[in-house]
Amino acid sequence: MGAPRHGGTRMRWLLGAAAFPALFLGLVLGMAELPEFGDPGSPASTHVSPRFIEDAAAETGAANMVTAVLADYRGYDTLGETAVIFAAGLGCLVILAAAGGRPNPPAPGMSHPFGSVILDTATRILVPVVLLFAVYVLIHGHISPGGGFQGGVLFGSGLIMMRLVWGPAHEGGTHRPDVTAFGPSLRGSLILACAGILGYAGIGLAAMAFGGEFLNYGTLPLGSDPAHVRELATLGIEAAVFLTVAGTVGVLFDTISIGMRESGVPLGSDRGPRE
Amino acid sequence: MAEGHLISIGLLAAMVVSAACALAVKDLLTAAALFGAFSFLTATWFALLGAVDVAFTEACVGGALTTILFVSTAFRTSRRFD
Repeated sequence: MGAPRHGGTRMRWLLGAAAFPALFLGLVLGMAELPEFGDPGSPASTHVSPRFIEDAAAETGAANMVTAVLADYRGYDTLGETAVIFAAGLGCLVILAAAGGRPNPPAPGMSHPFGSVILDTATRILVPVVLLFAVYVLIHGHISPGGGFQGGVLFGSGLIMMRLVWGPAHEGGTHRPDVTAFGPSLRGSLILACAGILGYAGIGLAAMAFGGEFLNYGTLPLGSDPAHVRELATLGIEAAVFLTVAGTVGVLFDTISIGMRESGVPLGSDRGPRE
Repeated sequence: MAEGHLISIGLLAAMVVSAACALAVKDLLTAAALFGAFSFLTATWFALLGAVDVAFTEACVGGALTTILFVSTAFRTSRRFD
């Protein structure tokens, strides 16, 4: 947001100054056409929503409608989303590892663990709670807000937190000699993510093998009550999403801390204003 | 309802301010922290609208994870954006 310096920059400023109000006005005018927030007569509230609200709990065994829709009715969409997250992790791995050289063996990560009693103590107390809460969020996703995605992010963040404060995996003796490895290595994270996405697709294929459609879990031989079968399969899906997200989070953090470290090029150096 | 509107307007105004500040500051670490604040405000607003699942996701991903990733990236760079 510095002052304009060159002709091209000034041109871009002018374009931006013209485009911003135009876009703002367009969005505001578009918003005026939207139905009121919570309007019971809006198309969204009159077509599919009543069906989900009335039947989701009985059909899927999930009291949390969001979970029922995400992991059951729209399981195919969620498979795509999970694949996108996985692909993002892979992309980060390929690009940053290419910038930084070897992705394996697992890299040293943050070179200076923050040595502080407060951080150390807080981490020691917080991390187990975060990890446990992540699993709770996963398992409780049927009933309360949460599920595999949020749980996976929390779990991955908990693992990252240890690495941030105490140093990386496989680098024993940097700051806490009694703790040698924190969470999975880069390779381990990648395997977790792969296992998650394969497990998700596997549950879908298993439903096909037992005579249903892809990801239509009702046919799985897990019991006699179809709602209970769907509930179990949904938990399996959530666990697969959890693994994928937790693994991808680990891959992202590890590649960021390796790639730039080994490349020797500070990324900030080419970040100045472009001519 | 009026109270809800006031809280909404306050949250949205704070979001605009934190977003603008995140763009304006030169210190990447400060920008990352401001972006985290923006995410938490967004999450609060989502919760206010009744979208608790989305709010939870936003708090986890935006407030925690991306902030961590930004901070760890900022530590790898020259930290200042001039």
